[in-house]
Amino acid sequence: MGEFGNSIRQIRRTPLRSGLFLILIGLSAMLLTLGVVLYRTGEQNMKRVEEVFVTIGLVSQKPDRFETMEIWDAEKRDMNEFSSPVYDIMLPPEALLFEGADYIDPPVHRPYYGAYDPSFVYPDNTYIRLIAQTREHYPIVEVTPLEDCVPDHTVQLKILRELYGRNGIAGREIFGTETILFCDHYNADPQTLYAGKTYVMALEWRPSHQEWVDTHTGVDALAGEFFPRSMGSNYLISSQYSPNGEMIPDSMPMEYACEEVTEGFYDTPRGLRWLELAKAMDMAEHTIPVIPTDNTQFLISFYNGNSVIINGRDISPEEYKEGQIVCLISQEFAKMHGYEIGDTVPLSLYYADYRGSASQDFPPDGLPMGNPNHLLNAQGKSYEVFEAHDYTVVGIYNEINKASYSSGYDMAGYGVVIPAASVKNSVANNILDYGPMKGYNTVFRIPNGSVERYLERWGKYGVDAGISDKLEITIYDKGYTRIKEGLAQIKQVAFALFISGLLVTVLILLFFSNLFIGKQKKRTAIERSLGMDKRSCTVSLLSGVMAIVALGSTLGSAAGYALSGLAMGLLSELSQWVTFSTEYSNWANSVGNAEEMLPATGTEGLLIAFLCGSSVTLLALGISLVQIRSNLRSEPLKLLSTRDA
Amino acid sequence: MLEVRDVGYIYQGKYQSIEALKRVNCHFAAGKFYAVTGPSGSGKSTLLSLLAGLDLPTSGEILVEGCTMAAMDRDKYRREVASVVYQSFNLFPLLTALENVMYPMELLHVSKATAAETAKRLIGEIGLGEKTYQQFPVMMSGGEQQRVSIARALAAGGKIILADEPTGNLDSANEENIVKIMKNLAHEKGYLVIVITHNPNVCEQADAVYRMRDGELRT
Repeated sequence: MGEFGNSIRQIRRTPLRSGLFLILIGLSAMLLTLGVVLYRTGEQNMKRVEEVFVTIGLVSQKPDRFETMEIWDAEKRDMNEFSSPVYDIMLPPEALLFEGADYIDPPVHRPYYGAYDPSFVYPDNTYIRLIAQTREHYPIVEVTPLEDCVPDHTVQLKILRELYGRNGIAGREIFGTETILFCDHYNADPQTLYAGKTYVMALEWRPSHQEWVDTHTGVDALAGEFFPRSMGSNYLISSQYSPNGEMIPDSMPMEYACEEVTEGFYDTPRGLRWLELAKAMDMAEHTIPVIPTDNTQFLISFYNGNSVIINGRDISPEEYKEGQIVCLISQEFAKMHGYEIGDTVPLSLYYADYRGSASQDFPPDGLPMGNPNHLLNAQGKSYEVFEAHDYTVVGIYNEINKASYSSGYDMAGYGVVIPAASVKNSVANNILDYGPMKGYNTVFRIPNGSVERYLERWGKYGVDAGISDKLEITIYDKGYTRIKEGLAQIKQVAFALFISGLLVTVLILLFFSNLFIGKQKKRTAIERSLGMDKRSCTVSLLSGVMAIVALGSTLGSAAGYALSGLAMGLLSELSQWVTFSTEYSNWANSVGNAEEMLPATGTEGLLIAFLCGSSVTLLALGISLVQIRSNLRSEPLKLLSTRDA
Repeated sequence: MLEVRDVGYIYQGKYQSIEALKRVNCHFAAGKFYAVTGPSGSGKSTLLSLLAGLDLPTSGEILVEGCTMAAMDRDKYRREVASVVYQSFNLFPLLTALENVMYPMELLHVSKATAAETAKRLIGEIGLGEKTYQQFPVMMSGGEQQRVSIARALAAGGKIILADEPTGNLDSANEENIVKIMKNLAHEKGYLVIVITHNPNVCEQADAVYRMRDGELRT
């Protein structure tokens, strides 16, 4: 070990040169490590982004025009104008299948399902009961007027029988009688009701007329009144559609939700329909919305992080693909029934609604918007169950942020999410309603980073096909495009650091190996002349240099590893590369999409640092050995014979 | 002790070959102080290089105590038998005088303490004091450096000293001292000392002088 000791001793006796070499080799190793760690970080984050980020497009058909409708308002004694959208044709999702679309998942117009089970009971203290056609506000009753009247103003009716309802329908509770207030509010020419005759009515509650309130005192003035459901909200009329979006004509048009009941009325087809409606209303009260999808991220509330799984796990891609009988349930639903992960939920699907949004029909905060207005099929019957399974609960979600209830993008209250492929049977006879493609029911997925290409191709195709002005396509990528750009820039910086580190390392090694070895030919010659063999000469020359390189590269790579987190943060902060762009995502950032770009740390980061340090050391070894070989080739005596040699 | 038999040496250049030694024959005995002289390019240094085992003859052979050098471990030969003293001293500039002298012994795995003790003795024997121990070559005069290099040559314990113009960079006083040391080593301690020199004064002191010209040796 004499040669080793002497080598180290000689290195120590040139502290300035050795120190400078140590610092420079440390810096170059740091640059190398920093470059590689950042590059790897960029790669990892890119991979993570690819895994986590999903680029989806929402399709919404625009109305061809708006039609103004006039509806009588008995309280104002005037017509109210309402505007409603008109679609000349409802475009199918196939309209978006064009060359170069490159869908991962092509657009599918999805319904939500109604699932019935007698055990599904909404708590009394939630508004959601209102939507479930609760008995207080949407009763079906037989009534008779206290006196002959034309109900173009508030009149009193006596309840004779409840086909659907319960003792506590709104007015009765307040009056403490069997009398309710009634006005055919939206009918400009209401039919005369005769005392002594019995009428069956499908009613809906509304606030009392101001006129009534002004002329009466006490709570009864504020009790509200009922009106017969008519026109679009008439339960009696079927809105059944065929799978291709064509309405199936109702076998028995029933325009008005009020009919006189005569002897044997309920044995007639019209009477039977009233009984069937009562049955359907009862089913609806025990119905929860079921949302089928191919990917949880296709549900915007999950996509933008407003809904998160708080217990259990998400449905896996395989489960989605294979149509496994698994489900995610809302926290409210789980609490209501005491469901836990692993439990099974009996889901008997009996209708599919292609028009409405589950969250609008079953709003999470319970404010009633729409609801399944037409619960009977074209034959006037309740829909039959077309698919029934006991779904295993794999995850429980909670909607922590709610968008506007009218948007239709929220998760429905008491909702259940299932793999679309788990529904094997046809819904052809169970389409309760059908509407145009909307963002909440028609979603497609394209590869990350292909937004601009897609929109460009769609723009061209849409114009050629004459549908560009009919469909509105909104694409969300959670800012993937910008993030990828940012990560690519980080990788470029990292690559530049790596290359500069490599170049600096090579230059430093060449310079110092020349200084410590190349310029030491004479020393080698002396050692050779003293009888040192070539191997020992090599060890003698290498020892000192490699000791410095090993120390420098270890310290440098450790510093590079330590600095990588800081550098990543700095780069990110300076350029805001890791913040999510809203260029293709107008959702507010929230928990779900606030992904942080983390440097490669832990075992892998340490491994990279180790490999960089080792690479520098190996490079130094290689360069040094070449120099030493050159030294050993020189003839010792020739070198030692002159002072200048 | 050393016998040179019909030794020839050809430098194989890139474009031409140079015959540096032509059938050289000579014999060097222990306890003698030899001088090899001749004009530049006559083959003196080549002969020294071969005697030091730094290379092998292209033809002929060199015998050490009757054994052909070609069959020997020449590194070991230089470590244990023959040492070389140079005109330009060739001490390790970053080692002290003591460390320079200890170096050959460390190559022989002599313990550090023994090596230090021996080095100090040798430094004393060549007429340098203790203050020299920790001096670096750059702090010493040429004569002092050459003495240290002689001490280093003796340190390995070999009995052959080969010197290449050892007085070439010294003033006359130092030259005289060095020659005196060499002579003493030969005559009093039984070393074989071979000195390559241009210096007539050194030749005069030698027991035998070989003159070289155009690669040939003449007595």
